[in-house]
Amino acid sequence: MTGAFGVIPRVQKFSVDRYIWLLACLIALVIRLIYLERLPLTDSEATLALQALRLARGEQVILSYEPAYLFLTTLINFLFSATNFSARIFPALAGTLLVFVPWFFKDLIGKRPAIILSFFLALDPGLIAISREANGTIFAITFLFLGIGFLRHGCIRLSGASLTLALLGGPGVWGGLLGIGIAWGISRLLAAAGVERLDQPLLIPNFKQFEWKKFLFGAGMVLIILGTGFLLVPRGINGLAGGLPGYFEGWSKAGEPVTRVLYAFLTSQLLMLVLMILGWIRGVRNPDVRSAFLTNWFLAALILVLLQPGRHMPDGGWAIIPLLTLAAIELDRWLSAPKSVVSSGLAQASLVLVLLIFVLLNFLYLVNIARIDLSTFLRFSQEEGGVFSANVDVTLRLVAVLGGLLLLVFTIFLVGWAWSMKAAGYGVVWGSLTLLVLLTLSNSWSSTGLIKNPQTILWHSSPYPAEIDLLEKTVRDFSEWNMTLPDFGLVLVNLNAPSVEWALRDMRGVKSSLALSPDARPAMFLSAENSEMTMASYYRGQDFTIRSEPAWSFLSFDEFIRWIFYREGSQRLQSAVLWVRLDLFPGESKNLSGILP
Amino acid sequence: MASAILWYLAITFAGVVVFPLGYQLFSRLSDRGYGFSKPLGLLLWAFLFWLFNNYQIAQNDRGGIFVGLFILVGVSFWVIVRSDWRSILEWVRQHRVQLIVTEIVFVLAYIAWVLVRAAGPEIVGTEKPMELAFINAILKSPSLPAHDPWLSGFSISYYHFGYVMVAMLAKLCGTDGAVAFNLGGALWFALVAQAAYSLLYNLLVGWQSDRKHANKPGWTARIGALLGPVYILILSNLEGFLEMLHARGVFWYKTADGSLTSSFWSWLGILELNQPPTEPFSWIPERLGGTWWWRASRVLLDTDVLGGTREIIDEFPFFSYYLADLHPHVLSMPFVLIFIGYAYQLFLSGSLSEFRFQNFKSWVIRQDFWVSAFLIGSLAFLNTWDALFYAGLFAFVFLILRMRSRRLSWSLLGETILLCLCIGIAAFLLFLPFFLGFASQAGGLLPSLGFFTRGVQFWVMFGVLIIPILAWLIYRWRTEKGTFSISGGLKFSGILVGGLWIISYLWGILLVNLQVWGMLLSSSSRLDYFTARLGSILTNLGILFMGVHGNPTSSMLFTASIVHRLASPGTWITLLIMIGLTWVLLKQVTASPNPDSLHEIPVLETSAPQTDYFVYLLVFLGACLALFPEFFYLRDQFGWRMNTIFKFYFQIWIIWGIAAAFAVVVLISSLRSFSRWFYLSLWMITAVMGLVYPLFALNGRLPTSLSGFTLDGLDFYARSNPGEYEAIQWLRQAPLGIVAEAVGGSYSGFARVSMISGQPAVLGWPGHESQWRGGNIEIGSREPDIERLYRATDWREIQEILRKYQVRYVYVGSLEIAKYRANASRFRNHLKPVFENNDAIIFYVPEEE
Repeated sequence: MTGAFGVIPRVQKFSVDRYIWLLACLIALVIRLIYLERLPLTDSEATLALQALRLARGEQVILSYEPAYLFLTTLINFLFSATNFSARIFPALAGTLLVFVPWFFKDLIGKRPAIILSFFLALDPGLIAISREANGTIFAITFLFLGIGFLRHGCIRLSGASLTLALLGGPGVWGGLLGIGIAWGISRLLAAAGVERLDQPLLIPNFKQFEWKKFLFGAGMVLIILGTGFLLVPRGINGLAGGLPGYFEGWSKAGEPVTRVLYAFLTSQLLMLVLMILGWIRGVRNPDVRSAFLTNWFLAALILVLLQPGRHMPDGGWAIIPLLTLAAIELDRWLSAPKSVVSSGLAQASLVLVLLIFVLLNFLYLVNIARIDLSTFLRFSQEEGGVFSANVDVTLRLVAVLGGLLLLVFTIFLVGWAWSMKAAGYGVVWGSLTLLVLLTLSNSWSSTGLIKNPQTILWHSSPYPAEIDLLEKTVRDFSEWNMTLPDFGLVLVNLNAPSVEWALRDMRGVKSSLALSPDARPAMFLSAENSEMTMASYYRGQDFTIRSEPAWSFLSFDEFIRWIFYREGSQRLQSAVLWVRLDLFPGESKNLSGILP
Repeated sequence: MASAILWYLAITFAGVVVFPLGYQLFSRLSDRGYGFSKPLGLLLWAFLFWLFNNYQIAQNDRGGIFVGLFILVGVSFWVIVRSDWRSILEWVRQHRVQLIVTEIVFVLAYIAWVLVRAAGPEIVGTEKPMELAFINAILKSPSLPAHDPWLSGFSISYYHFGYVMVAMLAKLCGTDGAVAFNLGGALWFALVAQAAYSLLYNLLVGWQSDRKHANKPGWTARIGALLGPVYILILSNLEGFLEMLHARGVFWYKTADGSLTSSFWSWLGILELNQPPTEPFSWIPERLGGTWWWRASRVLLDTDVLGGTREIIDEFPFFSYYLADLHPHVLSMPFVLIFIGYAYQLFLSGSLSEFRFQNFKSWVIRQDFWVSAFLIGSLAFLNTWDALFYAGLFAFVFLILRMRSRRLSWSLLGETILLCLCIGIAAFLLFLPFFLGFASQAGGLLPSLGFFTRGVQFWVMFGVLIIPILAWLIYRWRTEKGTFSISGGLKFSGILVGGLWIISYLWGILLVNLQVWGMLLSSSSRLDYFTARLGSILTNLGILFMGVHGNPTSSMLFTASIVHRLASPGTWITLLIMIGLTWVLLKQVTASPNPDSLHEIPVLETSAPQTDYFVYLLVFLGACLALFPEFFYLRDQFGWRMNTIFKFYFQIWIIWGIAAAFAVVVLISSLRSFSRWFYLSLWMITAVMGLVYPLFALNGRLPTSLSGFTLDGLDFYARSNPGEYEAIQWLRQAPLGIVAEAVGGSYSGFARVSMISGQPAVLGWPGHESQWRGGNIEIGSREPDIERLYRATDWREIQEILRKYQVRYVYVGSLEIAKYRANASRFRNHLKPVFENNDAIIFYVPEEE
């Protein structure tokens, strides 16, 4: 079929495969949209959302380098109203579209791995968190790969449009492209050195016969329509070009700590990492160009994120894609077991799963309920009496953990001896993977933020505004109690907190100021802790936590374990004090003579 | 120094990106415009950045800079795709030696001037604060046009394209404004060096090609072209040599009473040099309590008919770079050289001659039309005067090309004017946002009745350049095989000089009588408002004009003017000879009169010496530029020739510098035996005399140790005023807002807060603002208002002023206390200090409902 945007592959019979694709899409959509509005916007989200809101109101705004997100959100703000949901809807939808990317590459990675990959993409904790965040990173990720996919299938106009959308997604796209470029370069070098052989071009089209006009048409349409904010904000093009310097600016400023990125990968991507390692072990015996390229890509993308001082957590998404692809390919291999080992392998897997859960539960008891110091535990400090003498229950739990592990080894040996080592191997892997799948699913749900401690989500790009809802409610209450007060308003004094501004976006009289005059008496003002104390006699104050995030640099090992399973740990908090003028409290005198200068 | 490397990488990248474009544009030049690619890349990049900012397509941030870059890359890629990229690569491979030499010239010049700037980086004195204020304001502005740092509420009204370029590079490389200021000086020095080298190289290859019919350039051109940057950037006027003689006491004699006297130095008439030197004598110039090297930029001295003197600025490139003012005339230099290079390209291609009234439409869609318009428009934005000068070169090129097929006639002059008009309109459209917001300080032409340049001072100024040029012209005149005589040329130059003389006097008579006519109108019996007003204006103009000339009587003015000019004929006789010679040589290109020649395709035979003609044109243009201010000058705030001479003579140096360097190489290559040695000796003597100034000047700046080397132009301020520097740095990162600070005179230390922070001040240097805006209307009562702000004790009065100018920050520092006795406690009761230390307090004025 030839459409306006090029040759679209003919839709064939609606097979089971397609239902599976749709199922993956549905899962992705649900998990990305569910209670999307519940969490308050963080500072980084609110910065962009406020820009979109101001654009919708027709105000002059200095635009960030993420025009795709900005203008789509502006549109929805303009048509409906600005809510947390409207601020996050388009990234969520873009994240859902990512599920279709494997379809374009199934000839390269295989049909079944492509389907597995789709589910991985739908349920990956990192991608879920990134998709539920109000920024353009997920646009860059999704549309870059869709663009390459379209290109491979000859849909040149769509490819141009998609790749432009990716560029409009923000600075992150350049990091992604750089990672792919490095991987491609390494593969070419290895091919030139004869170590690897690239049988077919993986990504690069034939430039000589490339249909530039079609490509530029698609790109131009998106650039003109979306890049310029539907022709209303031509400066949007600035965002497309600004992505590149924006990315390089990340190399000259501080960002998230390296450990946070590593924690994020170790915890949320454990299943994928295990599968990747299994793949590497397999690759030692049977080298595979495709897996080698994906490995190079994963490592390049991860190293780029780790090396960049100004790293953002969502940038880790670029490393997740090759990791998931490798994992999908490997999982497909493990699921393709010979029939002879299926029944015995499943039995073994069940045993492994039960024992692992048993060990894990006892281990968690030690960590969480008994709260023993794991560092002491690991050192077996006998001089101080050690952990064994501390508590009988602890000793029993410790025996259970060690006994469970011994039993696990014993069952493996028994199954291997009685049936076959192959069945035992499959059983161990299947059982372990099942446990990891369960943990991953748990992580997936956690990464939606719909948990007790949403501030512990690693993939968020800025601290969680913990008590912003309470702050908003308090301000709203005072506003309602003082409806008739003409000068009612709230001043944010020397407080750079976009999340607060966003939360109070539809309140009357909210403004920012670097300082208050000594004789100023605004109805309310919000300032950083301990500042503006000179005015305390006319006001009553209440502090609110406006930023909360795990104190990663101070996290001990046992706290880390507790964080993995219970999302608990030390928090770094930042508060602001809401000062309310005395006369605004119910029952207080409205005589301002003693207050107003 | 990391910034210096980043700047080098950025400019090199710009050059590489734009080279395919230059390759097409400069197709007739031997190096295909490689030497111009860096400034051309910077020019196009900054233009796109500025234009898109003005049309709200880009923001004043790195994104906006990359919008320009992406478009440039796209266009370049398109050019490569359309043309045969293999041929470009092959050309690069074949000319790699030349490209490497050109690159070495750039790198050496850049390193050298980075070191010179690092040895004396202070941004203090002259107009440096103004220039830094522009750069910081552009850096701080969220969009372009940038706010005026010294007049809040207004955009910059000045030809500030150069500052946009410097700020763009600073923003791109993350360089501080004060570092960018010095790096800008070094970068421009290197850009000029490379462009001058490239231009002269192309001229020499062209000359070799004309003579030998050889296409392959040799080392003569490569080595000889090094004289291009030397003549333009290093060689200086002869004042430095005179300083040396003066310091040594040469030509000074002791009188009976022991005092020193000298008729030579008195006759020379250069201020300070006409005073006795201090003893003991030395060969090293010095000035007790002063700066000896400053005088080289003030060689000329205008004297009115009653003997009153007027200081005249006569800067030349080395002085400007040494002084390190990042002024528009300096910033425009590389682009002036590009234009000359492009004019040479047009001259060689002959395409200009295809312009006709009849095919006007087809002409306006041509590439060379728009490129010329773009270059002239950019010169107007860089240094407005230059646009007129080089439009003149463009017109001369057109005329000479057309004169190959037809004689000079009124219709041909009409065509020339029409073409220039079209180019001007196109340039106006391309740079529309600039022209719409620009208020020129020029108020028309005035006849220079009493003021003219004395011959000896003219030769002190340009002798280094005139000697080789005249030698070459005479050589060419003697060797030219054509049938012509010098009398034709002298007749033409006589008419030109005499004509200008007469017109200036007629115009002078008109102005002298304005006073009388004005008074007649004012005393008219049918007096209405407009008549009275017109009378008053005319009277004032007449009084002003006579006042500039020292208030003589009209008869005295004209008589004295004629007598003085005839008594000091050096300049006009020199120019008469130069114009006469060049004209007679240029006339050789004229074809025999043929009425049908309108339809001929006027392309010269390839064997004809085309390059010589182009250099004649340069000499001719320079002579015309020197002749013009002998009879007219532009009316500005100064009232006399100070700025006119400055702007004209600086361009003459560039134009004649190239011509002189060309002449030197050509003569050394062409002359044989005695005449060769004679010329070589003459040239070496003049060159050495011209090198005295830079040698002594640079020697004076040699640091005692490398520890003080820095490119930060405000390092001295941070060390001398740490408290205030800290306060202003705080303000620099604060949100954009209007600052109230003490107002003081031009060239002073006032307006330092806005200069360093980039925040707009209510008022900076009032004199300069008045100059830029052609009056005081916009300034209004700002100066007394600021004084009231700091002196008032009534808060309501203070509040009224704060509201009137929407002041966001009130700065109280040393100058505010010294000038207004500002008391911080007056503000403290009502405003909160957002920054405070022992030396300065910044109060924040909250926004009102």
